[in-house]
Amino acid sequence: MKYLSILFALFLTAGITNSAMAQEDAISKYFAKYVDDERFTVVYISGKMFQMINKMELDLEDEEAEAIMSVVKDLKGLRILTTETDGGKFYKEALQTINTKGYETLLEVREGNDENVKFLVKDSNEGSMLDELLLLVGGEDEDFVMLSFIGKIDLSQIGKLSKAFDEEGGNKGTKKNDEQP
Amino acid sequence: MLLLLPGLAVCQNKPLNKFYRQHKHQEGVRNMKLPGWVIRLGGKIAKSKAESESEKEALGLMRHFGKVKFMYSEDGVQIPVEKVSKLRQDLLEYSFDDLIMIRSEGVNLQIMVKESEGVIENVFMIVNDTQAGEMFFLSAKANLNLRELSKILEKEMPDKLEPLIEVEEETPVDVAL
Repeated sequence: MKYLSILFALFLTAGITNSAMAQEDAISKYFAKYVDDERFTVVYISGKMFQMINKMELDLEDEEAEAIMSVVKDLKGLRILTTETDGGKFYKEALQTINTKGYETLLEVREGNDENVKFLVKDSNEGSMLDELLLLVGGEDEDFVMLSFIGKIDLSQIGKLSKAFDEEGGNKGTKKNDEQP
Repeated sequence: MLLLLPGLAVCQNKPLNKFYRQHKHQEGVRNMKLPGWVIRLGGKIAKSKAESESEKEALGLMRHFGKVKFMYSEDGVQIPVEKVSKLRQDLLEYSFDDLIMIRSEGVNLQIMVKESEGVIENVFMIVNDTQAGEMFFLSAKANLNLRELSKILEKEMPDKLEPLIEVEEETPVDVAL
């Protein structure tokens, strides 16, 4: 019985992992479909880039830069796909291709068929860690925009980032090693 | 076994070598192939002439580069997008990884590396502007440790990141009645 439960747990974990990978794959496939299409502007920063930044173990003296690095190090990829033509068509197609069931909607704006904005997130660890951020924008006479961040995005690190920016803003030029009065 | 090693190294860059061979003699394309020792010697000379410490350190990185191949054109010569995509696919099969890919209004920038255990072994970069007919191709063998690169970046990184947009601070409104 014990072995059966372990086996069941393993199957369940494998299932969840596969579904997450399939979802990531759907975005990759959609991206790959238009990557060579002249109508699209494409930006792709790979996980390897973020991995290499992580491996560099940069010891930056700037609090802002360090906060950015701590957010960036666990990212697995950034994809941006935009076009000025057929925004509505591509928006609908993206929604059909990418199964949005596994996501939570953060923000949704719809103005008839003219403008649609969907901001979706996928989180784990009771919301303290985001696995993916997906932004879809499109409409009949609007541009189509797909922005996808994949990787571990620690919300507490984002908090630190905004704190660092606030501190730097209010206390210009202060380095983390500077002694506070 | 040792005799086979140089052959294996060449095989790993087969798609890049093929691409270079196919396009280097195309009309309007200028090409240059520099052996590693020339790069290293050039780096040493430039380093001795450099005035600032940071320039010296950056030029010191040249000693980690091997054979470098360039191709460039400014005369309307275009490399079709499909050929660059094919090269990318082939390189992915040869253990290269994408770093950055940007394509906008006919300009295509692609940077790929082959990295193993924190060491960059190969760098490939192509900028292909199909509208202006400009192209720049670079392929370099390297032995560049990421830690070493990070040391230079740490020194070169500005003390404070410059904001992208300057936002004026709002003056607080006195709401006291």
